[in-house]
Amino acid sequence: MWKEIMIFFGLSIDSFVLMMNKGAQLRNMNMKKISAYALEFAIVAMGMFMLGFVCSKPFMISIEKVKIEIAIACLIILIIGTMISTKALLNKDFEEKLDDSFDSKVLLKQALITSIDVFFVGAAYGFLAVHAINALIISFVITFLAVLTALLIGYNCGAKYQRIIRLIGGILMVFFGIYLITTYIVMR
Amino acid sequence: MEYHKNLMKISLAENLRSLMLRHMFEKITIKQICDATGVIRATFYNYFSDKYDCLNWIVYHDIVENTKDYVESGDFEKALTAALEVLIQNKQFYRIAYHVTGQNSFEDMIRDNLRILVMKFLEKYRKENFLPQYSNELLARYDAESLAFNVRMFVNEIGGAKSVEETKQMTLDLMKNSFFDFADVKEVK
Repeated sequence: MWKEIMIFFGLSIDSFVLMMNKGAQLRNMNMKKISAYALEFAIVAMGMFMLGFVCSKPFMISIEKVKIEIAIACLIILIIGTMISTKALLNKDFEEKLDDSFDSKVLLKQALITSIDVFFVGAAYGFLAVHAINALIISFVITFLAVLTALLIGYNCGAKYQRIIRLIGGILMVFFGIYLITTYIVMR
Repeated sequence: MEYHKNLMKISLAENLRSLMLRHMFEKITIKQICDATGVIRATFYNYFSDKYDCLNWIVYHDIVENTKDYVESGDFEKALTAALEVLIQNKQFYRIAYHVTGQNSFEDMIRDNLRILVMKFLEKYRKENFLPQYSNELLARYDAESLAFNVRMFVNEIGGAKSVEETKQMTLDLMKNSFFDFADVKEVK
């Protein structure tokens, strides 16, 4: 289970940074609003995971060699980790600026874009033929908590440490990808 | 209520001004300004959309608000002196602020606020029928460019430190006289 927690923790970093930035741009915030945003984001992430999981099924039938499927899964995680780390290194510092246009519709769009990596992880789980229920629950809980905390931190403390947080998340994912490759491909 | 609002705006802006003397503008966060003022983020956003907006307001306050009475009475010379005096009082701040470059550059803020100042004059005191083909907007933009050049020279002591009086005189001389008064070239119609 710790593997799932680690992977979703790494994945939630991107959403965390995005929402921390957003928190720093909002004028009016209260717990009810924050919880609603976090819930919406978590539901989208969960949906994307399920979609990825379902979409990977037809490929499982066509690809016979299990090792290739695992390799693809590991590669996806590794690529996502590298992408998040690169983003952290290349992106400029975030400018805190009032955004009065933010609402649940805007959040939905952002959640869908940010959850693309969750979709691929869902697909990776499909390839690995792992039970997805645990992962689904963990995905929901971690995303909910990450978005909730991020909005609170962003609103109260600003978006000062977004780059380092994103970098840690990316590195975590890279390490996890390497770990999976070693465990499932090299060691077997 | 309006007085209270203005007081809060001044307080936030003054805290940004003093923060800029100790930290790089790029590194200053809204939280730092709020903490220094003792307010929450929502209060900051009630007055400014970001720290650039706050910085621009400082320039507006120093250049436009500060010279309002002289603009009303049509005394350009006194308005210029008042603006230059504020600049010299806050010279260190203005020097640092000139390092703010890029999309929201400080130079642009200076130019834009000088344009507002000149525009206010022209709207009230434009000579009737004198080259009417040139709009107030065009003239204000043109003069703001040259005034901004003088401000930059004055604040950064380009070509040596100058007093308020010297800078005022230079600005007035350059505004009163054109290229054709300085250059001994064939006059154009």
